[in-house]
Amino acid sequence: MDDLTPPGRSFDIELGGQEVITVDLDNLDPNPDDVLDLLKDGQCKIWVWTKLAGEYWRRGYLEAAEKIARSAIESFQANGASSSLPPIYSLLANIQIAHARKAPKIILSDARQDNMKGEKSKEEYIREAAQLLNTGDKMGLESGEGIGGTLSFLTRGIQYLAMRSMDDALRSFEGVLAEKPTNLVALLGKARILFARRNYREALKIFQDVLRYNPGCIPDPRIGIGLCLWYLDHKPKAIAAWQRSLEVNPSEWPAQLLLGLDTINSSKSETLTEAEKAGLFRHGTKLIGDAFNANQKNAAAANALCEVFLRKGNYTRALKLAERTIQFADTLKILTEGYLRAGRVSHAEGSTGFATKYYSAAVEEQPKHILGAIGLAQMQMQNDEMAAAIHTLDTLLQAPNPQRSIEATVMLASLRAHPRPGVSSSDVAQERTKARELFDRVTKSLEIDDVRLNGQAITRPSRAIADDMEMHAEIARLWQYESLERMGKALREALRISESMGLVDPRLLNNLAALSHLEDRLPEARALYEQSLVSASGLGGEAGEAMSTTILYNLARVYEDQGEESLARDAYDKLISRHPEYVDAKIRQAQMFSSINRHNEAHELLKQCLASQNNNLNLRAFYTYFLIQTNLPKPAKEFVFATLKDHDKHDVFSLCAAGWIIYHQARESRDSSPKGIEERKRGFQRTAEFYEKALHLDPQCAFAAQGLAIITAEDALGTLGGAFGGVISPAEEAQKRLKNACEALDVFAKVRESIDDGSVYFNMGHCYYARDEFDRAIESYETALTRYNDSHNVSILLCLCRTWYTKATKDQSFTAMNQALKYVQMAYHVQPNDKAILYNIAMVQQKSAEMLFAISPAKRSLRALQRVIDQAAHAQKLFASLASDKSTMVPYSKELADQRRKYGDNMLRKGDEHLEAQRQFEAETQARVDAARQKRQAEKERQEAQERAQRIRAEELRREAEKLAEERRIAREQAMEWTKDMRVDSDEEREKRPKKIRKPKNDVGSGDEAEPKKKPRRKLKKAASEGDTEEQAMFSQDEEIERPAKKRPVKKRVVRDEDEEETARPQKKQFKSKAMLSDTDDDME
Amino acid sequence: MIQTQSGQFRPLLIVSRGDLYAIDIVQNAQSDAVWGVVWTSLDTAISISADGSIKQWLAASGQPHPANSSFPPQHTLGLVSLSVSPDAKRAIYNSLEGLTSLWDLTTGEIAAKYESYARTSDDAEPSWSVSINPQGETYASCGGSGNVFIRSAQPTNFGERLATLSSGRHKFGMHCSHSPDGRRIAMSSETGQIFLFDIESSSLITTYTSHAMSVRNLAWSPDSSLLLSASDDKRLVLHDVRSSPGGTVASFTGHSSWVLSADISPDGRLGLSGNSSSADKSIKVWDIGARTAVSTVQDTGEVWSVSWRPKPSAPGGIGAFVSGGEDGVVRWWRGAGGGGA
Repeated sequence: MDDLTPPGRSFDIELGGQEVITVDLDNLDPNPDDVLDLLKDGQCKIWVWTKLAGEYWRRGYLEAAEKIARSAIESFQANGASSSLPPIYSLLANIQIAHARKAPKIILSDARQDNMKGEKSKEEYIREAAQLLNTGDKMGLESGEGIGGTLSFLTRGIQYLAMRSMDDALRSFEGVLAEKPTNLVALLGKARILFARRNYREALKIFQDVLRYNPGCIPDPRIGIGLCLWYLDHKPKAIAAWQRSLEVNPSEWPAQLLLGLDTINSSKSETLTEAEKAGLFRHGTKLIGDAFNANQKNAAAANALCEVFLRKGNYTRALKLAERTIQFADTLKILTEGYLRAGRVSHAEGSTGFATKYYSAAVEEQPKHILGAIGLAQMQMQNDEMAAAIHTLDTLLQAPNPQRSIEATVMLASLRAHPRPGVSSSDVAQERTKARELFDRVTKSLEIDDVRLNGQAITRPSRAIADDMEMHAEIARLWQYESLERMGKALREALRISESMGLVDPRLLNNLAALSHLEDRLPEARALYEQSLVSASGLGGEAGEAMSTTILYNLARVYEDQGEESLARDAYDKLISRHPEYVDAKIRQAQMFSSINRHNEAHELLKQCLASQNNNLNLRAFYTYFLIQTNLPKPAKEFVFATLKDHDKHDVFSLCAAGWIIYHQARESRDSSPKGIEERKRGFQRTAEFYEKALHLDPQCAFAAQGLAIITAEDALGTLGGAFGGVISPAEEAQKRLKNACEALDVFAKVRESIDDGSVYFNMGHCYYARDEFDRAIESYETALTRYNDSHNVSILLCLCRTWYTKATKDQSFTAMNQALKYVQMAYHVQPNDKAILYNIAMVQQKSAEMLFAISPAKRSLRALQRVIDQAAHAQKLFASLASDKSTMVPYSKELADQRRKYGDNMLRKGDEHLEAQRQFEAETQARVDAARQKRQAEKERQEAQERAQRIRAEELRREAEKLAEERRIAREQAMEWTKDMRVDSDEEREKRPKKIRKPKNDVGSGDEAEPKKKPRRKLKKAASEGDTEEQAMFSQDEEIERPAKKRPVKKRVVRDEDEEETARPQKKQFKSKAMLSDTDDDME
Repeated sequence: MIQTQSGQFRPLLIVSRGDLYAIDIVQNAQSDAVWGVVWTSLDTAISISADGSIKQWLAASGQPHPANSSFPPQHTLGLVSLSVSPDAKRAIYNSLEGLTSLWDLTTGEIAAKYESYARTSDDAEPSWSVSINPQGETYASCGGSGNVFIRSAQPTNFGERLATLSSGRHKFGMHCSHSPDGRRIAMSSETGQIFLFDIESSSLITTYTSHAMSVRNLAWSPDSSLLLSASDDKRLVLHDVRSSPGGTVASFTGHSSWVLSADISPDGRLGLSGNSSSADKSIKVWDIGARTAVSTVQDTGEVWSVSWRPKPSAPGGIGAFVSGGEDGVVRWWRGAGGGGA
């Protein structure tokens, strides 16, 4: 349009060809009526109308311009001269487009501050412009002048641009440029299109062309140049371009806006001081304010200004500006920002409904908008729509096009970490896993930030997140059941932050203390609990009191674990006096009584607890445990069934306890009637069902797994090691036992990973024993012994004795038998009231002798033999004492004791015989050894003599060689003399001769030194190796002596085996019942 | 050997925990666990072992005593109880199954033996714990029936039952011990009761129910007024036998497992206890007046026995003691902070 107006200050209108009226263009009357009259009267040419209208528009009198144009149409149509109207239509269309520019694109129906309902929308104006253009075109066609012309093309292009039909617009502009390559409007249009298509380089070129063609061109191409440069990352140049634009056109707003935005952005730099930041911000705000005042219908300016007011807390203005932004936004980005700002204003005001609406709108426009998504998620959380919030954040963070936002990730993680109603427990676990992964991602990216910035101040948002104590506390919570190490790490981080803020959360200290407590670092735990107790009591109020209570309870637990029982008891007393209903403290008191066998006091306390909290499952579990521990299986059974029936039939502890009680009952039943066996079988079956149910509810339940493994190992669902009879052969039975033990071992190995206590090793020991792997059984039992934290567990000691005993019998090892005796004595020392152990002592003593009698003299010593005979003799006295015990109830068979004694009498009769044989054998061996030694000695002496002889000989040889060498030396010297004399000899001969002479010299020389030495050395070596072989022969001879001896006991054993079996059996049973009794005790621990 | 700076006395109560006692001498005494050790008035120590042997050592050097003499032959079963007369001239010891022997320390000979397990009468029973009467020619034994038998300690009729002190309970007697004045005898049971008998009247004076778990050891104060009990309930309880009934004075907690042994220092001020935990094999020294542990020293095995040096230490001194345990080692400990021995 600019090119339509030629430069000039005045304008002449010819009236009827005679009168000329000059219109002063610089002083146009804002009211165009006079001019209109003039134009109508003068029947002016169409260009006069357009020129004048254009001039009005230029002056900003858009209404007047439109009026002139409309009048022109009226006037020309009245005169039937419509054919000359198309330029007017173009003008009118352009005017509509200009209106459109200042018209809202969207009219919010529920705008609270910026009501635009009275306004015509941008679309309407554009539609009108299109209509006008079409009319103009139609007229042009009718008049035969055809469509087109630069004007029409340009107007079309502008209209397409306004409608954002870039392709059509570009085609129009290209059309114009084909004819007029320097048409500025077309050039600007094309540049804009290229810019919009991010072809910044091309766009820049065109903008620069425009500037060259017309430095005063409005709109200022410098704006475009600056934008292109900005996007091409020449920011200082871009800013320079805008500043120039502002100098040239101080009243134009775009440069102000752009410069304002840049200033505000740079005010956020971390490197500036606060004063500098404030200064920049103020300046930027002023620029934007000016830009907005220059054009209040500009969305970008409104948007920027909105942020300013939002920060200032002027929500009314901010909302108006946000609504302005939304209604006038011409790009998606600005529109989204507008929605976002409106959302934030509403959010800040607390209008959740509006905020939700605006955030949703923003996310709808740009689904991957981080702030939008976060805002929406926040609103959804506010509205308690957790699943929706998770979905919103998931959409943001997941493919396609996942956004990287620590803030959103933290939010999502936190949301997932919290159980929501209506979510199954397995889903909750899954959600927690996901939350952990998300938090891991956050920590990792924070670490990356840290590394990238090389320890420099990290960005504010990441620091805010990294220093979020709640987040670390939450992470700790998430790891609570998965990894104590990770939990500790998070807690320590939270504590660090908490400490740096100057106020330490007692809960954090308590949790850290609990962690140390769990890891058995008791002094550390105690110190932390005490610290947290101090800080909790400082809190005061109900919360402080509640915390103190829990912490004091924990502290008391540490006292207990440290053996400070009186401190613990005092603490529990204090707790109960403050909170009489605090059953946990009472339970601990009961436990403390129970652990020193004061069962009545314990029982009394537990009854009080049950009276007040009958449905407390923890309490019920403890009471069940108590009843079992105090050997009251019947009440225990009733109680646990009541728990399952009346309180929670899915209580895993009760299920395991029920399983154990029934198992115990079935196993200990001695009823061998068919009915009794049936009953027992059913009991085992039910046990398995209970354990399976427990495992189904909690697949990690190690106790249920262990229980099932015991059932397997003992073949309780089969024949219970033959106890249930059946047609199974002993071989098959053994096979089955092996297989069962193997299966059970697999389970125990897994159970051990979660409950690393004595019972598992004890059970594993049994399995190894069943598999005849005695060494491993011993190893397991010994581990069990240490795991129980006392070395006097009689059951394990007896199992160790049994294993060594069986191993000794199998290997015929006196050492192993001594170990058996050692362990059985240890057991009796701890538990001297158990006469069965005394029987076993006698048994092992007798067996030692029996075993040594059975093996070859080479494998025993006289000393050992004498010792076992003494032992067996002493065992006779013990058996006699045991057999004549007057007590009515003895845990062994008096008859068997007597039989053993008689057997021992018989056996010991051979004692002297064995001793004699042994003495003889040892004398013989000694003689052989002596003989061998003598032989070796003789051989040694012989060798030495030989060596001596050799040495003498070598000496002789050496002397001879020396003599020879001396002779040769003389000869050589003589030869040298000769050669000196015979200098006339030919060259050839001269070379040869010295060689010939020299060579023997060398040989002789080396031989002189080496040979005499070498020879004896070689000899020596040989002699030594001869000695070796001789010794080896001695050893192998020994072995040969042993070998037949090895066979001998086997032969003997054929006879022995039977009575050995027979006599060993009752005693074995003795052990077994002991072991069985004990391992059942341990299962529940 | 850590020697003490004599003359520098420290008040005991301000010493809390720490290495108050240092190992003085270590003697790998036995091939198996040491189940009992006594520091005699002649500054020797006698130890009994699970390997069936009994040995005597010089406290000053840890060398066998007397030199070049052999000890009684090794029994086929472990020795569980040992009692030495105050003049250190006789020792009575008993084996696991109840073979009681009288060792004449002046001659080094076994003067007599008594097979208590031989069922000579209907109520005969194997002895478990034995205690020599500090004044008379008798010794006491206890075992399965829960009674205390007063037996002859004369070589001629060694072991012959002279009197029966009945506790009225059929609970296994784990330990019996004469008061130093020889007037009373205390016996503890597997269920934790402690029975106090008057020897002259052969009557039960009182029963303490301070423990509900086995009490394996008892120790008298030198003035016969206090009795210290060591129990599986991890506690030691101090009783004042002059006041009756009840008489519980204090209880000492802090051991993490069974307390296997106890003793009271010759000045009556310090208690001593040995622990059995496999995790914490410690000996604790207790200040009886303050009722706190003043020292905890680590041993390498269960501490089956502890015994103070009977000769009183210098005033304010903290004395010396000997310990024997599962590792088969006898250790002499000496106060490292006070007057020592």
